[in-house]
Amino acid sequence: MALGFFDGLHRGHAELVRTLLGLCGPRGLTSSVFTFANHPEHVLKPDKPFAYLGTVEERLALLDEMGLDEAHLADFTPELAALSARTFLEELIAGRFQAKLLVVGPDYRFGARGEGDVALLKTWTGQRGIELVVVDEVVMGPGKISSSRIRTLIQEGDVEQAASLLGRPYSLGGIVLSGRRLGRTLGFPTANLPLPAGKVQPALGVYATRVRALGQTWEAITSIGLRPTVSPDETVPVIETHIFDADLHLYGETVTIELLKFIRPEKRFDSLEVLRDQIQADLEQVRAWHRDAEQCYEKTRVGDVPLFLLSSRRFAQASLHLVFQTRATPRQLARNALLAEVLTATCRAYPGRTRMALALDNLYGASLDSHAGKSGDIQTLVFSVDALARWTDGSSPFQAACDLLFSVLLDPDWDEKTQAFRDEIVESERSNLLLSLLARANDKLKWTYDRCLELFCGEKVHGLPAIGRAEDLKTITRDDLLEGYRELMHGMQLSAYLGGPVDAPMTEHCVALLNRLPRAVRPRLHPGLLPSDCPAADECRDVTVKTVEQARLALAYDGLPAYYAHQGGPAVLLNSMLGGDVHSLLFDVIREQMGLAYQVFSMSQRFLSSLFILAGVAPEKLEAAEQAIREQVGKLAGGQFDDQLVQRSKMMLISALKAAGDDVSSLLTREVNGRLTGRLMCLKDSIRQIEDVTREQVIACARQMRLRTTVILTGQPEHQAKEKPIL
Amino acid sequence: MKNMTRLPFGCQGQSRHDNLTGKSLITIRHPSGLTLRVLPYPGFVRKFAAAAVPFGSIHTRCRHGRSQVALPSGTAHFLEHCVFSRDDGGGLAGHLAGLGASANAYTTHDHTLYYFSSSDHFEDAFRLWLNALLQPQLDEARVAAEKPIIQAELSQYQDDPDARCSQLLMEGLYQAHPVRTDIGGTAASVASITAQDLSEAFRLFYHPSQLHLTLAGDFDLDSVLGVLDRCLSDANKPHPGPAIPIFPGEPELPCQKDMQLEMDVYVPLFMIGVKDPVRDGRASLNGLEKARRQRTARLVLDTLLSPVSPLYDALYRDGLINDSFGCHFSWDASYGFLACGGESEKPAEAAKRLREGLAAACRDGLDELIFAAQKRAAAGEMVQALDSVEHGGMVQARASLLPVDLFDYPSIYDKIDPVQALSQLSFLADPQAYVTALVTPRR
Repeated sequence: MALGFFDGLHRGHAELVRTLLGLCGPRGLTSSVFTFANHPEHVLKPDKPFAYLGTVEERLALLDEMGLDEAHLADFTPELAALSARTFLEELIAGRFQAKLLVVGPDYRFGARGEGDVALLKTWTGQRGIELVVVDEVVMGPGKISSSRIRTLIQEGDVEQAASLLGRPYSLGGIVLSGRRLGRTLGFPTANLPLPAGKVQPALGVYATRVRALGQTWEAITSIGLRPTVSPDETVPVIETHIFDADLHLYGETVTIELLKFIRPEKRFDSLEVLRDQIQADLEQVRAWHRDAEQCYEKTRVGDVPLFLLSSRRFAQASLHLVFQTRATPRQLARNALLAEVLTATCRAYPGRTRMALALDNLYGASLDSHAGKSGDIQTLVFSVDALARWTDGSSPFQAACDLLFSVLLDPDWDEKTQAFRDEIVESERSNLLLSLLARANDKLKWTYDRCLELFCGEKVHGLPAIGRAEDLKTITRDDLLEGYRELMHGMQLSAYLGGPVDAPMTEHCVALLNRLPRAVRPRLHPGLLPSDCPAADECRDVTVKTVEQARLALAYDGLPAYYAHQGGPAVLLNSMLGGDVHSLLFDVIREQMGLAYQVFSMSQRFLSSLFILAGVAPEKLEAAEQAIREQVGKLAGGQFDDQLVQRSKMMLISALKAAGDDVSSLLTREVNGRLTGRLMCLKDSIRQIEDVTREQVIACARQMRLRTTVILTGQPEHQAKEKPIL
Repeated sequence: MKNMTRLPFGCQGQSRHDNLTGKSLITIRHPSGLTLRVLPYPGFVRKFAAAAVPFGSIHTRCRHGRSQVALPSGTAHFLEHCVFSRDDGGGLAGHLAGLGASANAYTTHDHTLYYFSSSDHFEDAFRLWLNALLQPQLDEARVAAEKPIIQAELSQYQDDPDARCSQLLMEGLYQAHPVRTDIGGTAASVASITAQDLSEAFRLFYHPSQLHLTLAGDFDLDSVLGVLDRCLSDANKPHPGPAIPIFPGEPELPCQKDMQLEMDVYVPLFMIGVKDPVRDGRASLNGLEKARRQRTARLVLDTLLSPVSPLYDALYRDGLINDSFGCHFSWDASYGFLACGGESEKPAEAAKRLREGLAAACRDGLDELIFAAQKRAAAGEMVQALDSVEHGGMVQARASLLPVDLFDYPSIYDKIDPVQALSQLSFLADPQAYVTALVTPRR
């Protein structure tokens, strides 16, 4: 059970809830929160008006979306306010809820006059045998994330910063009222809402916004204010929103307005003409802002399938990614990977590989691919098309490629006699995948890495390749594939990502295609819960002797933060400092200074909370190389590195982040990964997170690392005999 | 083409706009003789720079004035390493990392390409990078420090079945031409390289007038030209005069038809190579003609050997090839060959079927529909490439070696017809021109 008010459910709250989910999953516990419908300040300071970041309904909806099993809501009353801390714990936490695990933030207070705190909780839970986890506060920018800080930002109009801390734009919702039609008279029809009672009032002025209405999201401009030019005596602010490029009839409809950027404060104009001119200028400015912002947002939902849109005019190529995700057993990994290859090989409209390839080549080099990936125990199947949005003859290769993608998924090249996928296609794709899997071992470094991963994860699916094991691939049957296909169509989480120079007709076309998918209640993955944790297996050291010129070495360390933890920033920087690129300790010391290896680098395994180090080493230098590599890890833990290493690593990471902003596919991949980890952030915030990492945080992160698995591939049998103490 | 006046530092430039891609290309000639091409990308954060040097692994002998210069195999690759050699600040790569710039380089048969990209501090990074390129440190201490690293790299490739298979193929195709030797040289040749070798190679082949510089991104052009001019002034080297590569006599046909190596592999590999006899006086071709040959070969290969082709489909269906299958055509004034292959559980049969398929294609001609589709795909791919600062910059950097502008490619493609294309690769019809190389598991 997590305890707190969770107003706005900002990133700090989300960290707490995800920690709870991550702990409850493996323990088989029901995850829940206990919270109040009204803020205690309402009762304790009734004369001081309290403004909420979100309504109760919004809070519960967000908690539900995160995957919480239960939410216990109580009204905060004077009677509850008078309850002593001990009574609160005994009667509610232990008595009514029978909590076995509590998750709180470091500042959590409870009981009359806030007499209860984390110290008391520690004592009490210790006595009761209840597990207590105190989640560190999440710091972003100059201080910790708190609801009060966010309220202030909104009141000052800094909705961008507020969104960074919340993890989503601040929004205001309500029912559109019939107004004086002044906007329409001026040439800019608006949908008007009253300011919702009890919610934080933003600074009065003009904002770039998005509007969710009638099942879609629209780019818009919003004025929040008293309308001093036309209503000098007005005292109650009104929200007036003009939606770009859409003539919607919204009177009586419920809409939600997301505040994205503050443009200018409200002001009074001398005349309607001057007002009209200013509105026109505001419209142009906000339209340009939307065009250049290149933000990815949920455009609409087709059944259970969200369609995310990232519009950009800088590129000629558009992309559509259909991302299926599921928790998979080892056999399902193989089945799904084979299914994806079979589906994209051919379809009824273009039966045969050559016809498919010809169709794509005729679309000016469009590509249609499937890719199987894995994050922990979650398999991701991405079916994607990339194609030019428009050709000089006015045609849209992209639109045609999207049609082909849906033909592939919905109208596969079926064997009518067997009512199954064609055997010849299945067998050739099976052979292709098997060969690819086996051929990985031709690359000695990959072989070493795969072996290390397998030993690190033990028997768990986390350690398997994304396409599964050869023994499973060989035995997948026709019926298995059919079952996999049904699961793809009905039983996997699915999200669609559309990016590039995509106009409204193209978007509508994609929506129409998504509508062709069978309607299903698809499961949702919840970061914290899934992907699930994978504690490292027992420590081991494995030496294999083969005929190789160069020895290969793999070291796997655990102890890094969970994939959903906000404290992932220090781990990212640590990896870059240790072995991320040519500036790193491993490259500079092991390769350049000591000449012990040509190839040496590290890679973090976010979903395993681990870090792997890989090296190709001359056999006679193996012992020295292993020792030296471990010493570099020790240097980080001991703080024996200079600031130049920190700065160079930060610069490289930030440069790479900025580069991602110049590539649609990279941006879409960031979105997919952000949602899988629950740490979706705009590029600006990701950059700031790296900038804010301190030396001390890196050292603390390094000190948590423990070497669990060592794998050596060598040509010299004598290496097998030597035992090495684990550092 | 539009002449641009008022370029600083004595530079002369021309600007060209391409209607197909909507992009522009600016070509600038510096008084030193260096050619710079700039692809503007307004609104993009990423910036890219590349320098192409027409000095590769095959340039081991050349005539310079009245003398002949001989360089050990692997000198070009060694020189590439030296540009990045480590100093107290971590070397070029380390210094660039301090500016958030990521640098790399490669050496191939006929050229070396240096490149870097960054999001911020581009001019500082450009200056550092260019200075390292124009004034590398090539003393004996640096050479001694670099040797073990290069030896380790060569040793790594000895475990790589793809690299070993390619090497086998080259040894079968060529008897004497330096293209048969690994790009990095051999352990013995690398051990023999001296600082003098490197200095001589640098003097002959790295003069600014021989360099082709490409920039892509959103720049203040005048400011970047200022950095360029200062670096070139600081380098200030006299032109050495032309160094004409010399190649030994080479038989028209391969010296060995079947090569095989056993290694510790799980999946066998196969490659077939087809030797171009080089009878067509290609040394006198200009840039557009070279580009046309290059693109023609690419179109023919894609028509015959990409997933769109019936031959590919048949081999795939029969389990003889998989997604690892690839092909490329490499050529120069002095050599040319087609190489293709990949993983296969039946490598000998895969190679045999491939040879037969290529021979049949030469008899039957190219499928015109497939050929036309490849032209469309190539046109589209060029537009797509320009979506990326790095990709667009790299395509232009390689085109600069011919030299052509990448905007020339669409008109080049338009003029290629399937009959003429196949005739350019008529050597594919000669069964004597083929070599097969296999890497198989150790018995």
